[in-house]
Amino acid sequence: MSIKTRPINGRRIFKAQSTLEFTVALIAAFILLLGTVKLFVWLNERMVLRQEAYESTRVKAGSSSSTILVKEADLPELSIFGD
Amino acid sequence: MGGKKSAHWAMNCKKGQAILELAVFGSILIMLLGVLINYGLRYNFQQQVMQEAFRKALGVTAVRRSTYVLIKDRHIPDPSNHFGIGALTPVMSSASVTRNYKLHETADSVSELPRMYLEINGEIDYYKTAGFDSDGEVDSTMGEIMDYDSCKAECLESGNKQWYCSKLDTLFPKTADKFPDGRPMGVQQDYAQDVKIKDSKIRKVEGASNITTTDYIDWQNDVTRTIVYRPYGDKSGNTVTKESISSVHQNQTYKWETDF
Repeated sequence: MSIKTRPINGRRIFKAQSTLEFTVALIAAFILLLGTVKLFVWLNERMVLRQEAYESTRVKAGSSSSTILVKEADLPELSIFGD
Repeated sequence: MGGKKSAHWAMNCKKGQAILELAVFGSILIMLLGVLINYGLRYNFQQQVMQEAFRKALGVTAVRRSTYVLIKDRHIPDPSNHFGIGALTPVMSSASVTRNYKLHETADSVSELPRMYLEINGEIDYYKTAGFDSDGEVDSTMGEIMDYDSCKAECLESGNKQWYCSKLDTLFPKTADKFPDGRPMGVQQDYAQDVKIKDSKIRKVEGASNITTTDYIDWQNDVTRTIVYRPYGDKSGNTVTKESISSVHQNQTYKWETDF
């Protein structure tokens, strides 16, 4: 099946090419943007949970002679394709 | 005539415009995403390092007054790289803690002198930030890490009676471009990064029912820093320059399978 073209000034122009390219590029750009938003939501969640864990162990850390750290392993992992 | 010619040339050269626009705007978009990811990750790492430095300072001050300097080189992926291999970003924080019930206490022995703990990518070292003067009093200008301003102020106050007053230029060498006020002691600002990308590759296998893509990522980044300090008790004015080399690496395999 060939693309229907209309001659302009004696030349045939592929009318929909730029629209098609724009659509494909826009979809790709949105996917990238969505990934970035997901990453920022994950980072934000980690920062809040880390702060919460830090505050909740303040007294214990201040009254202990050993170092009490926030457990990074307890914080959620990045999941771009998940929830 | 010339105008007509150039108009004709422009009409005939419109073929690559769309692909050129995609290439230009696509690169700008990916660069912007990279900047956003970099900013977000750095902010996250900074919070982590700030909390960790304070907690570690709390831990070591159970024995003596201390400052804890924590430096971590974190890898931030680069979206424009095939394998996401980016540069290392140093994240640093320091915390100083004095427990209030120990405020009146002073060091009686060398082991009780205040310290500066320096942790670079998990390697911990410490330096005394004070020493004993000739009267046996704790003096902040007698430690392994000396401060130029404190030493100069002490010299002005005592009428250049301290041992280091005539050796300030040796202890804190001045250079017109980098250190016009004398090179400080401790971790130096300059550092070197050596990146080795060893065997990073993509393997794609197309089968009858699926496609399997495997990414092998193997790189290593060595960071060399220098630490300047004065040997404890040495009054010759000499300083020691110590190199600290730490390595950050990634050697991982990622595999995806897509069924037809």
